[in-house]
Amino acid sequence: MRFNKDKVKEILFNPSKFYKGLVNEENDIRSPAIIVLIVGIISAISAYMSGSITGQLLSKTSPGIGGLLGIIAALGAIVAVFFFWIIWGLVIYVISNRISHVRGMKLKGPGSILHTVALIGYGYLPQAIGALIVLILGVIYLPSIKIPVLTGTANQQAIESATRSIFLDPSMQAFNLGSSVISLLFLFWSANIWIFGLRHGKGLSSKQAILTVAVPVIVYIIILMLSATFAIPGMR
Amino acid sequence: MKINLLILIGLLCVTFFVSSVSPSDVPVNSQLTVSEVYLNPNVFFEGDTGTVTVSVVNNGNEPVVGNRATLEDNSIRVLQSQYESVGAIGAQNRMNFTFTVKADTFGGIYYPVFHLDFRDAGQLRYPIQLVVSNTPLNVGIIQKPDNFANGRKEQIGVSVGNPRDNFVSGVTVTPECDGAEITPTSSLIGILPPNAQSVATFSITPERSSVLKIKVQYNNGINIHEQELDVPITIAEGKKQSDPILTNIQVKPESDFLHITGDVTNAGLEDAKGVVISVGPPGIPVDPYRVSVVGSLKPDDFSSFDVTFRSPNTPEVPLIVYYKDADGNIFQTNVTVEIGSMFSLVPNASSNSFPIPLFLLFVVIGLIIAGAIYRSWRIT
Repeated sequence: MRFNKDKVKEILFNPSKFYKGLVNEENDIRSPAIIVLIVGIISAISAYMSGSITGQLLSKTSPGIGGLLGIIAALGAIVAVFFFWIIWGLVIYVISNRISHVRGMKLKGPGSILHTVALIGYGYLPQAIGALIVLILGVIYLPSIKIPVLTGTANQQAIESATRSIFLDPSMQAFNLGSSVISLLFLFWSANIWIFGLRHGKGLSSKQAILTVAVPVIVYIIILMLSATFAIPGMR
Repeated sequence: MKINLLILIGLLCVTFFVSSVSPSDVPVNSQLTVSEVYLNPNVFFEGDTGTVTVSVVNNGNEPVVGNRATLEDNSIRVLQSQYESVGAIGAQNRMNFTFTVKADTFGGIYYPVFHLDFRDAGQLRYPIQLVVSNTPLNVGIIQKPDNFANGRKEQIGVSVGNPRDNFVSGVTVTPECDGAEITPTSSLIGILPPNAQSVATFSITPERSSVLKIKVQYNNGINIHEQELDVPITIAEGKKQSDPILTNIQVKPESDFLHITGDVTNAGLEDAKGVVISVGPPGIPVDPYRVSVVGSLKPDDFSSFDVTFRSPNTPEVPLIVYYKDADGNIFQTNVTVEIGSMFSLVPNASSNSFPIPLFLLFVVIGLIIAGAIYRSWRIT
């Protein structure tokens, strides 16, 4: 499929038409992979900035580790985006098969795992916008975080406390809140696109498609909220 | 008859003899004597002004008329030099002659001469001993601490001795110092007899190293004299002063503040009273242990302490130990505790405030996404 500006607009604002047009085309995993890669790259930049904060924390104990941690975080972000893409695809594939009573799993062809993963991949396009907004928030908030510096005598307890103090920083709290809410909002947009993908790509009814997408999204939101509650001491 | 005649002649001869020896025939200078001489002061300093009073007594039975009384000397200047007309000094009467003199000469013993001229010729001449001595009072420090400490009240004793042969009066000791508070501001000793000593005690609370000037003022007769003694006030650690030492300091994290525990030991030789430990700026003391009140610590005694605080991003905070001595003077020592090696916690007062711009961003993005979702379903 040739991916252009019109196709992007279709995915975002008229996913029904986009997926209808996709039915007659050969299953293409490359285009959604590019979309996911774009999301991964933008997220990687944000992750690099966050990783650098930890590097500044350890600038005295381990000079030069900041850049390394940033790179590790960036690579981790790219891997995580692709990993979650596959997971979303697999989960939705399994649920949709259960709902449509399709037995057995196949890797290729219409209705296969790869086909579902590809459908989900197109739905990642709003998340690229979301990742871009999160990146802008990172540029605004992350430099103003006051970062304590650990020295040679730092121990595990000290590192934990320093991390806590970073989380308690108002700028970090604003960034965490902003990135969480924006990710959630754009997830809704992606979920909406996925519903149309399942309707046209897997022949599910609107009700079945909504149910297929809603279940993992709700579970994901619950997990996200729980992790945010435990990760940020100030929200406990 | 002859015998009676002879007795009569004899009586007449005796009467004649006695009548020929009349009182006016006795020398007047033998009737008058100098009974006493008063000097004020008794012993002069060089340049002192004083008085010499000569008391003359008429021991005769007839009054004596004096013409002129003078006191003369080549070294001692007589300011009021003579009595021009003395007048009569009655029988068995006394008359004082007072002269004002100034000892414009070097130390030594002088003999100004008192002259009293009589109208009927003759005179009384009497040399008076006048001593001029420059021996000063002896001013010394008999009590002083080994070291002065900033803000600590100490006692200082000033002795004033009089090695002269005469009394001095109005002895006043006045200490002066720019860098110290002194009480009392002066001490009056009063009259100081010869070869006597008196002590004036002062409380001094120095604020910085300086010089204490001790002025001793006294009167020799009507003459005011002054002596000074300089005493250096050097601020230094007292040898016996209490010395709280902090050891075993540990910093622990609590929910959103830091908790410092440790031991405080008095390594001095005096009691440390009212020992209180707190965190100084930039640390912000918080409950439950804003300050740790340890109380009194005897020498070599120790106690544990707890303080809790928040700190902005700073690598270290000062622990301040306040303590008092027996006089209530307050001292403090600072110990810097490194917390950057561990962590620092920012006050999270603003952490609960919701960022308005973010909220507006959420609303705008939410509306856009809602619009996009709505549109996707509407055009289906």
